[in-house]
Amino acid sequence: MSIAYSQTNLRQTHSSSRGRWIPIVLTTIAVLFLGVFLMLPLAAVFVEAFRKGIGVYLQSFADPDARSAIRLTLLVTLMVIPLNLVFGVAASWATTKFDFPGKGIFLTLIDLPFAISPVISGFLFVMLFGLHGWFGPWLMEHNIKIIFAVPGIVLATLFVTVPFVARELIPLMQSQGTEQEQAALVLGASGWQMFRRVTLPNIKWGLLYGVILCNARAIGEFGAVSVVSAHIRGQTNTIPLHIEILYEEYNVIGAFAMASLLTLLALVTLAAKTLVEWKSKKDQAKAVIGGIR
Amino acid sequence: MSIQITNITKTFGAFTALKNVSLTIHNGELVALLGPSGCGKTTLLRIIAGLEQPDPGSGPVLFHDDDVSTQSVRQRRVGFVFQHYSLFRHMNIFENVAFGLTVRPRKFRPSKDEIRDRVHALLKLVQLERHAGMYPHQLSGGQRQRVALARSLAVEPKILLLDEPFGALDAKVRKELRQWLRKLHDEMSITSVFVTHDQEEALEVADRVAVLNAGRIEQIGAPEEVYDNPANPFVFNFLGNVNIFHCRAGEGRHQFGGHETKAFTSAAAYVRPHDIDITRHSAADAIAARVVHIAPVGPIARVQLVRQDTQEMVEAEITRQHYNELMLHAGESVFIQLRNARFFADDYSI
Repeated sequence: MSIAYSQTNLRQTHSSSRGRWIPIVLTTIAVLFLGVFLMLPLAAVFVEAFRKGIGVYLQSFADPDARSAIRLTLLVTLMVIPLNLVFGVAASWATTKFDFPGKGIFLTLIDLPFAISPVISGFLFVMLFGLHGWFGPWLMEHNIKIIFAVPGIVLATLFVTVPFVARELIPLMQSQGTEQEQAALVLGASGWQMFRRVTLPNIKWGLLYGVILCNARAIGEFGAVSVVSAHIRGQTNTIPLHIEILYEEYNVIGAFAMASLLTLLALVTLAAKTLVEWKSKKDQAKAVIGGIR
Repeated sequence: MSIQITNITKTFGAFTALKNVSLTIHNGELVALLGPSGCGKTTLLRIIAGLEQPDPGSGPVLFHDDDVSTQSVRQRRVGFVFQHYSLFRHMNIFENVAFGLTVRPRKFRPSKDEIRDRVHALLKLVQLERHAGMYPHQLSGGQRQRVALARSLAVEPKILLLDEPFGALDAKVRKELRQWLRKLHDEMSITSVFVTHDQEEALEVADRVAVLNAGRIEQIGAPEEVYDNPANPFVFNFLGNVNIFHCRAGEGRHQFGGHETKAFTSAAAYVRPHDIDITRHSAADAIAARVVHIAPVGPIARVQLVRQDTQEMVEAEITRQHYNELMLHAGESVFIQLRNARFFADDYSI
């Protein structure tokens, strides 16, 4: 009886003339906004890419320069992710399981790449390793090329993606505390055993989530890479840089074909991210029910 | 294995958790570290385990006369049960209990069959044989605590340390588990130290109780010893309810029924509620009081009274039978007599 009563009550509140319109108006605004600013451009990418048929679309990828750009992007990503993974785990491990002087400054520094513009990040490396930079002359002497070459692109991408894994792990590891690690140590585990068998399984979803975000950013980075790359076709062009060049040459189909590739990667990333979020939430719910931190 | 710690001091920033604490625990003993929160009892336990390092200048920690001060927690090989169990949540119960054996270097690691047998024997001991394949979140609090205990026993420690082992459990499970712990200790006779803030738990389970306050051990002794002969007002107060009667020297004899005050200029008498007798007849050493409230619960009746002369509150506990005989009612005037009292100097602040 009481349930029926409260439901009627609820319906009455909703059907009051003011209450009825507010949710409809808000929902409409949200849907329109999403449609115009997200779905429409997303559709446009594929419409433009396929404008002259699938044959022309596929032709775009046969271009050696396009292939080289795809290869370079993959290479950079494959180098950046493991490095960031190791750094992210080490940094969050150090800041959450230990206390050391300067911890606050360290945590702030991790966020630095988020705070400054990617273009500035690029210039930092030019300033350091460029021809007139601090280490430029020395590098010249030893015939090492960083700026306007692949190492510079890797460094710039690394710099802008540093915070992703660490930012994801630090709050997670903070909330988990150190008691499970202590339990492992008391039971005779070595540092490595403790990490591999206790810490890692507890942070795996957060770690994967961080890697996915890091991956998305590494593939799509434009600003910082643009500064340190010389835009040399077939050598130092990543996918985003190649898209810009194609577009400026009025090769619209080629530009959008490459763009569609990036978009597809983004959609896959999004799906993976959602899956990981769902999985980790399920794990967390288990822990909450279990009452274990 | 005996434990001997000498002159341990531990500070966390400006906070001093332990001040020059020394303690000896004999082989096979079950000792309770009892005190209010923040008294340093958990810190002391963690220093024994090696999870915390004492301040420089502290004395050594000895296990069976061996100095383990420089040994890591891993090398000390103690069993440690955490307050919140700290079970590995991604491992099932079997894997949790087996953990200490599976992380051993290959040379010292028992074979798979041996590990399986030992884990099942331990699970049988804690009555959780049928839960081997379950995960920690599927167990109740009491079951999880037993898994934690089995896990710590798997490595066959010579010393077992328990941090508020029953703190997070409800009253009934708590009571069962502490009797069970006592039985287990008697069977295995492993030197054990447990931390608790529950005086009833400490007095019921332990061979000896160390009462801690503000980083110091106030008293250590058998349960009946610390209860009957508290060394100071803190211990008296912490181990049960107490009535405090302030008195000046010379006033003593008249008011405190034959209990002499010592040569304090100012003293207080500490009396347990069950050492206060209620009568309807005046006597030389009786104090007139008025009944305020009566709570007849179980075998005893708790009676709250107000002294007629000083208006101080007094709490008395009398047997249900005596209560029935007296036929007490709230608001009545009666007399109270002190059966037993201890005097401490008044300047002692609790």
